[in-house]
Amino acid sequence: MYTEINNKMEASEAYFSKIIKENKSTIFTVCYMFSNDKEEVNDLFQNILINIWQGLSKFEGRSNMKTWIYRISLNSCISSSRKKKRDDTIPLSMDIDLFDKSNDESNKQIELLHKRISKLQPFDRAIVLLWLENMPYEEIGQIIGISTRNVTVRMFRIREQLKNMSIE
Amino acid sequence: MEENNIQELEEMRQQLNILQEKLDQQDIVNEKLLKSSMKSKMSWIVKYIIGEVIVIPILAIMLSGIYVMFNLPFYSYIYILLICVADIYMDYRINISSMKPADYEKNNLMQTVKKLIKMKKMRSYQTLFGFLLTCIWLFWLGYDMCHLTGVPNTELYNGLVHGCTIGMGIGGVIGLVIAYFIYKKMQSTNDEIIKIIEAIDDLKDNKEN
Repeated sequence: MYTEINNKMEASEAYFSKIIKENKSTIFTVCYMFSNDKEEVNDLFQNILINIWQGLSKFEGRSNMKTWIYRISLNSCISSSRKKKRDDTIPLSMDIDLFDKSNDESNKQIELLHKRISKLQPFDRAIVLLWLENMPYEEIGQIIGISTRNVTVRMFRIREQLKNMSIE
Repeated sequence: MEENNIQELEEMRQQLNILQEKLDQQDIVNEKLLKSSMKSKMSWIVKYIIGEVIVIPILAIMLSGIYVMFNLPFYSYIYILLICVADIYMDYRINISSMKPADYEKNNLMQTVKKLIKMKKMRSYQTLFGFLLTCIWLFWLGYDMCHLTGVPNTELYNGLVHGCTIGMGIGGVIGLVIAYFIYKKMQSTNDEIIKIIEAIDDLKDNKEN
């Protein structure tokens, strides 16, 4: 019985590692858009991984994996934005510092994206990120937990906000 | 204006693609996490030894009460007391003073692995000798309990003596079994830390490749 349990645990861990490897850029992108420094990004990243691990057994496959990962990541980041509490953990991190102000052109583009998105409210950031991933409004609504109509209205407001940002 | 706005969003989409391409090439770094989990794995052993230091004097006082009550010769009491003090000292030397926090942070963790293997060996010797010496004490105490002098020969007292002898015998055996499980857990803690060091080494190899 213990061998069976151990085998199941090892299989779960292997499956979890596989999911994280395949979706790490999605998770990290969300974290990056919801924080202002490297440490905070790493904290968020770790929290999301914990939430994914805990939620994995309850995942019923009704949505695709990427949608589910987005839902968990966004909900984690939106709650963290509200709480802004630092846990006493050693964070996992990616081997890259996106806040590094180097002259690299790609870093400049990324910085510009971060600047625009971080000026939005946390909820709107979530919507924009999903929209930038070419998700339909219906799916965005399902992930965020609002109606499709609400997504349409919010997207209109977000566009206005971005327009005003570029005028400033 | 509307066209500019659409263009802006398209720009953002391209920027997001750049970001995600960059992130796809990165590894998740968890070396720090592994190192900190190494330190925290040993912390239960430190707490156990602190517990020993607190509990054993209390048990020594209780045991001395039994020696006084049954008028037992104090030689075996002094004997077991010396064993306990030596055991606590060895626990400290083997599990605490032999490893420093810096040992978990070093760049060359192979030294740390060697220390951990040596720790396991020393612990095995300590446990073996501890078991033998404790068994000698249990037999010695049992012999003394069966050959009491200077105590009233009443039914109540005889009942007490028998009860205590059996209780201490059972307690002694249970104590030895618990000690054995604690020993096994300490050894497996060392094994886990050695595995973590191997994982850190693998991480470093992957980065270099």
